[in-house]
Amino acid sequence: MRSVCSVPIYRDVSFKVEKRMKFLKNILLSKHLALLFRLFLGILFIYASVDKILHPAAFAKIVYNFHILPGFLINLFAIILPWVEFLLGVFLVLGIALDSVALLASTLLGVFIIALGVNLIRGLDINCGCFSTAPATKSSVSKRLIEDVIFLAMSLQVWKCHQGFLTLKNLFYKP
Amino acid sequence: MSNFSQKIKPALIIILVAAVIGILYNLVSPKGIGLVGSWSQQILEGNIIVPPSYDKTSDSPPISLADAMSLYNSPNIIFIDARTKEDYLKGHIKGALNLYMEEYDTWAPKVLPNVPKEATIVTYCGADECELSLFLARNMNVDGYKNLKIFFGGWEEWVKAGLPTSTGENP
Repeated sequence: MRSVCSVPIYRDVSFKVEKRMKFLKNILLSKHLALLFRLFLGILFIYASVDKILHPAAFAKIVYNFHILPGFLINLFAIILPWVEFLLGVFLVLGIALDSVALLASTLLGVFIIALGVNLIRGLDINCGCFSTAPATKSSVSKRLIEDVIFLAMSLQVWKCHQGFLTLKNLFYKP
Repeated sequence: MSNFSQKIKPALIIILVAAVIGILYNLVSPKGIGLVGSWSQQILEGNIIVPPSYDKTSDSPPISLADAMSLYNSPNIIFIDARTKEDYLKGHIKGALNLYMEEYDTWAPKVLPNVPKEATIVTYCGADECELSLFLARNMNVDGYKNLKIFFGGWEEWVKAGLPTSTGENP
């Protein structure tokens, strides 16, 4: 964890550029930004899970529309995934088991990205579960894909750089 | 490596706890669904493939390509394309109107005044994977159209059979 967050700056760049890069690096890999990302992702995961928990049948239909899981797994996946998201969200906000939670969040986002990417290539409209070549459909899927890539970057930053800053664990037990 | 597996263990516990809560909540919730659903397409009489959400008892009757062809040539028939405008412009069944199902509330007041209530309506969309035709028929049924039929084979079957098509704004 330390090694990634403290990459040495190359010596052959001028001092000014070096200073700026160091400043940028310090911000991008800071525990403060990790806290911000953590809270944002946590609230996002909770928000995304609530609607799915309240409307399981509608969510199962969306899972079906992806045409990736076999039929017998669709309902089970639709029942369990929203709760994984909910727990992840709560743990991210509170800062419980952050290493594992951020890793799980990153894995989940990675899976979403693959699922969306596969359907973008196949040209499957996941909104209606039908194949469509309409640009409107493609752009809505690519928009979600880009969003998920950004969220994944945030989640990886949290995983690597949180340093236990303002987590529940460190509030109760001073390291 | 052992550090990595230490991180995986809590993640697996979270998934397990989520599974237990999810399944229990689903049991108690009035909106709960079966643990295993029926997500395969149904094949009805006449070899007509319909999507999993099609309800034989309450939905409008589905028709085969042969039925659609014979209806196409009879009078007082209106075909309605439930796909997006982009898809419609690229190609549609010749004579069909376009009513994009996902935006039914904005499209219906523009399209439906030209569609008499007593006409026989055939709704269709992309192919048998697609449910827009089904949802369009459900909405039109609520809006007072009683003589509705759903052509699930849709655009794909129609084109494969080499039947009359049109492109652009012209029906």
